[in-house]
Amino acid sequence: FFLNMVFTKFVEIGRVCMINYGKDEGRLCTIIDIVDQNKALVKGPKKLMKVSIQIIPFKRLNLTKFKLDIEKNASDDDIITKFKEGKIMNKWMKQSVYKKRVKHEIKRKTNDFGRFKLMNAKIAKSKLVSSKMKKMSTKSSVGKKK
Amino acid sequence: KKREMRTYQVIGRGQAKTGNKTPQLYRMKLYAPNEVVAKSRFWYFLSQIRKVKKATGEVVSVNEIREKKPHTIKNFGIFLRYNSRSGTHNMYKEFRDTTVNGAIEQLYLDMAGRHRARARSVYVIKAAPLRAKECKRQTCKAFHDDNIKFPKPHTAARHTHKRYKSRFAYSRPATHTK
Repeated sequence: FFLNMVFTKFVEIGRVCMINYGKDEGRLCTIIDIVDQNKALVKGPKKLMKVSIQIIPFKRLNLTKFKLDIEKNASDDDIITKFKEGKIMNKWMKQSVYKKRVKHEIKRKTNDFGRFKLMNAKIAKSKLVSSKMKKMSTKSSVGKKK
Repeated sequence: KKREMRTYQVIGRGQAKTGNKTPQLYRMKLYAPNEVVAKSRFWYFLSQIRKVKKATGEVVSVNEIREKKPHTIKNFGIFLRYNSRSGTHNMYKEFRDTTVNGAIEQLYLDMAGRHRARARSVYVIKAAPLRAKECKRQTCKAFHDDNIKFPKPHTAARHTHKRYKSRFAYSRPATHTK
């Protein structure tokens, strides 16, 4: 039964989520209790993630695949030790979701000079690729890949 | 426009007169957005039940009552009275929230949505935290599970900030998440 589960990420106590809207946008938090079908009680904890304890709607949470083994209304220290044991932060930074966010953030912050450098880099790259392609197509090789 | 409700304790009495130097004190626990409204509602209710009004009385104290444990979720049972278009009725509703103020806010929104009752037509008689077994409504009891777990089956695509909100989308978003 479990091999065929359609859903793999659940809203549950201990689920690590990323906040996707508001002043804490982009930060991780843990669900410590569930208010009702729309809202959860959530905390960073503040010492670790700068997310203070608050009620937040599920609309503003992106569930990650990480889940901590904590009890309802777990203490800050409890959550911090579980975070460190599970090396959640390291694993989170390897997630493609996180990497994409970082990439978008960098791109958004580039200034005109940065975009100019990017344009030059793209031109240089495409020049290399197209010259290579030309060389390969002129050679009479059939089995060569790429 | 969500108005933040606060809990106030208002104590008032009729003015001291030569005949009655220590008039009876009356205390009311009210839910109001600020002290001014709290005092106003205090006189509104008190003059309905006792022979005293704002002109002939004085407010002795107004204190805001803060939530003792604002970081734990509680179940609130609220008795209310409201005016519908055709009459006035009593009601009992339950809400889950961390504070009474939050539950009262939910109440006003709920009454507005379900019964088209404006805030002026809703009178909160009593709001008290309940233990899990005292809850009567299924909406609250459904969340009394220690191992509660459910997925988010439908996630609408959303902008991360108001400035990234766009009027048109160029591809149909996927609402499922792996």
